[in-house]
Amino acid sequence: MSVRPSDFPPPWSPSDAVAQPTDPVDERIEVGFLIVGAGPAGLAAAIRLGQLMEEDPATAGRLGEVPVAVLEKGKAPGSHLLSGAVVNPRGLQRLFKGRKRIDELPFYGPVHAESVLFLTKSRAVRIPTPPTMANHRNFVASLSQLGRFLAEEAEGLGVTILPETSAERLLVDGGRVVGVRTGDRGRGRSGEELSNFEPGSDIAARVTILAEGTQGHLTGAAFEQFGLRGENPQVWALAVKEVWKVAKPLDRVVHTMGWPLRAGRKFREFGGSFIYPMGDDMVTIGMVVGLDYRDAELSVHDLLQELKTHPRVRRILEGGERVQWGAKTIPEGGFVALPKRFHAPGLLLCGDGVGLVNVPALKGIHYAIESGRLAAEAAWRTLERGTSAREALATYDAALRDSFVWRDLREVRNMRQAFGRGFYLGGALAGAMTATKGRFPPGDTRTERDADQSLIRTDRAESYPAADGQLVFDKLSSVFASGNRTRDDQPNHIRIQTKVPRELAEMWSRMCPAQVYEVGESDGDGTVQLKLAPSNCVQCGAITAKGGRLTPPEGGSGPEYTLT
Amino acid sequence: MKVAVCVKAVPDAAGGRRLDPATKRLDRSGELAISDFDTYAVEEALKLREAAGEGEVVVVSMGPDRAMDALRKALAMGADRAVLVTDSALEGADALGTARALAGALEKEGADLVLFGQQSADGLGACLWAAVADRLRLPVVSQVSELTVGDGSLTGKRQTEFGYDTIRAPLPAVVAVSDAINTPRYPSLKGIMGAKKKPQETLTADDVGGAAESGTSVVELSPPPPRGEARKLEDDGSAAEAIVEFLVEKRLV
Ligand SMILES: Cc1cc2nc3c(=O)[nH]c(=O)nc-3n(C[C@H](O)[C@H](O)[C@H](O)COP(=O)(O)OP(=O)(O)OC[C@H]3O[C@@H](n4cnc5c(N)ncnc54)[C@H](O)[C@@H]3O)c2cc1C
Ligand code: SF4
Repeated sequence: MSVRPSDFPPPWSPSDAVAQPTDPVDERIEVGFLIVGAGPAGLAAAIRLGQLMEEDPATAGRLGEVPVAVLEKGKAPGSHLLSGAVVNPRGLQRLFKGRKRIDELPFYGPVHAESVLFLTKSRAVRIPTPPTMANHRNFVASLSQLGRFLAEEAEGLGVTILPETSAERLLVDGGRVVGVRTGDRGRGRSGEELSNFEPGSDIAARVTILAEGTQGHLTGAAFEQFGLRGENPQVWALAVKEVWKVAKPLDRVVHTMGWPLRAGRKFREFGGSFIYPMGDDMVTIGMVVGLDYRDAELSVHDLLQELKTHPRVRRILEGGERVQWGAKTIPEGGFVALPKRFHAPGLLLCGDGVGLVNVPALKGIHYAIESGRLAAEAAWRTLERGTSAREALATYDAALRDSFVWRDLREVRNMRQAFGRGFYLGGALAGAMTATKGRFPPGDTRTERDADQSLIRTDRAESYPAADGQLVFDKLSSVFASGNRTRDDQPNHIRIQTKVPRELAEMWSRMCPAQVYEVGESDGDGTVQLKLAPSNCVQCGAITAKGGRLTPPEGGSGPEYTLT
Repeated sequence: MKVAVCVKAVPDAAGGRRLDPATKRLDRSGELAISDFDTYAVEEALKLREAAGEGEVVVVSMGPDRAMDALRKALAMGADRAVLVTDSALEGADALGTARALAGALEKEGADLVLFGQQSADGLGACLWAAVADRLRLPVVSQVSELTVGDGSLTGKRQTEFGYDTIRAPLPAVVAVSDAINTPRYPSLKGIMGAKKKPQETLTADDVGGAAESGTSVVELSPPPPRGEARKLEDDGSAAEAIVEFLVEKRLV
């Protein structure tokens, strides 16, 4: 019998992330608007609120001493941000309208040229770039750097940013979200209070905006709590990427498809790679693979290593040096997997948390920014006299459905229909479009949960190249290159079954790019013990898609990205 | 009682620290964070203030103006005030120049006790406290893993290679604490939110008696030698033997 990860659900329930306020009222921290997540979505919301406060100080005065606060679990804003990134400037232009020009934003420059390559093991064939993929007028950026920039802008407008702080529970009282509770700090491995124990706090707000990005912890809980889930489950891809200092400049944006992924339908290996120049002396290279894959031996980390050995790719990196590494999931369900509503009483949801990603174009940053901006405007409307909070928050749904975000996502929904997911990088596939169309019946717009795919096993791992510390790296040196310095005597933040079939344990250990899982002793009944090293975790979220559950560890843990 | 804590804002280690071959200095362009070792000194100062039920903790630093953001962490932990000496004339100052600037700022403060971490997390010099104490003509006790203060004097238990020295010194004095002395607290959310509003003062070189000529200069930089060939042994039960063989072969035993 074949094994499905979803047959071994994690010991966790969404209600674990929902609570009533417990701190006595006089100890509660009160803020005006509370934003969870300092990514492009959350920071755009913060900046827009800051602008509105500037424009209308009298109303802002009603928000109290801390009018807007942003919680961020990373060490600093940007520490947990990882993207491509080729940025469509539309979102930023609308956010900074009349306030900032494009050349004042931290971009590496516009995209001058691009190629889409179809790879075989030793060859690369260039295919025409389809119009939907065209990137001229777009800009290359590091999202981590852009995030730091946006955070400074927000602070300049009077927003309070609280890094090293995880939002651990959604506070719900009388059917309404009233804020969040932050995580404790200073607990030992078995949960005991260490000498520097610092308990979490209840933070109360008139509106809470969740902008948690992919695999949002509280977002998932809110979906359940308020029945927001759409008709189709969300699905994800795992992306692993590196930043290199290079000897010679790369003159174009490159996407590849094909090798080292396999074409057979039974493998369900959808994805590709991106290679973007970051100025004249840096290049970023990443591999993206849909998490509905089936092979227990598939490792996106190792596929990226393999990709770098391709003669065409190696040439780009030759004489260079890897300076950073990271991993993160991307919601790929697209239009059909969007939630029913984007608000609930006291709550607004935006960005990757609700799956606003254009899969064929591999873009979500401008949607995150636009949704954050619109969420801010709806939140602000709750201050209008004569408008009920309910009406005010509902305007967010209407505005989102009326925005370019909605139009774009709806437009590409058929792309997905035609190709199955993940073919974006190849968008490419304009050429291939004709060839494959027939294989995907039109109207097939459903998604299946990644964890429902039954596992198979091939000998794929044999072809992963051995680490040489120059071009090819092992997972532990990669974790080091993510800047992860997580204290390893804190409680385990990963919920997962630890007595499972060998195949499943192997799938997890291969899948995790940060070597958190190890296949332990056999129990003699076909199952094995799964061993965990949670402090390696870079919080990519893949485990949540594939049968476990990532919860936020102590604030300040995890990677410390600066260039991703 | 007034306690001054000298702290340094160092490049955040996560990205890996880098020496700039052009200036022969540490690349300080990235994020700055308060040196880990210094958080022990901040914690100890807060504890002393809490035990006494009164007093003031002021953090003192020299660095680029961006360093004030890093000092805010100490304020979030509970320090009352921050003083930053920042001036382009002080850029690239060596230990001597830094000691002069800090001593100048400390003279203005007139604290009963000056605390340091054992060393900076980037330069690893472990000498600044001595240079500052020398300029201030104050007694200095280093590597202190237990500190009690009372009645115009302090008693410090000093960790040494062979055991502990217990040393008493009159106040005011300079103490460099070891990282065994306490576990620094996490800043509370209220602390972080309140930090911005605490007094933060910047001083120029002139305010602290002018910039000093550095007594040293960096002549050359070279990367550490490669680690040589490494062999990885999987332990299948014979690893111990293999290690012994290896050591014998290399004539190391
Ligand atoms: C490899 C890769 C390449 C991509 N390439 C592109 C590209 O080229 N162009 C493009 O436009 N898009 C690209 N995307 C997509 C884009 O990065 C996302 O759509 C975008 O980052 C979403 O923004 P966000 O603000 O919703 O979430 P995020 O960017 O994920 O930010 C969320 C933030 O919230 C914080 N957070 C989450 N939960 C909590 C909590 N409970 N408490 C406290 N803090 C929390 C996180 O630490 C994080 O900082 C790419 C994505 C990946 C992974
Ligand atoms: S353990 Fe962490 S790094 Fe590994 S797959 Fe899960 S979320 Fe990603």
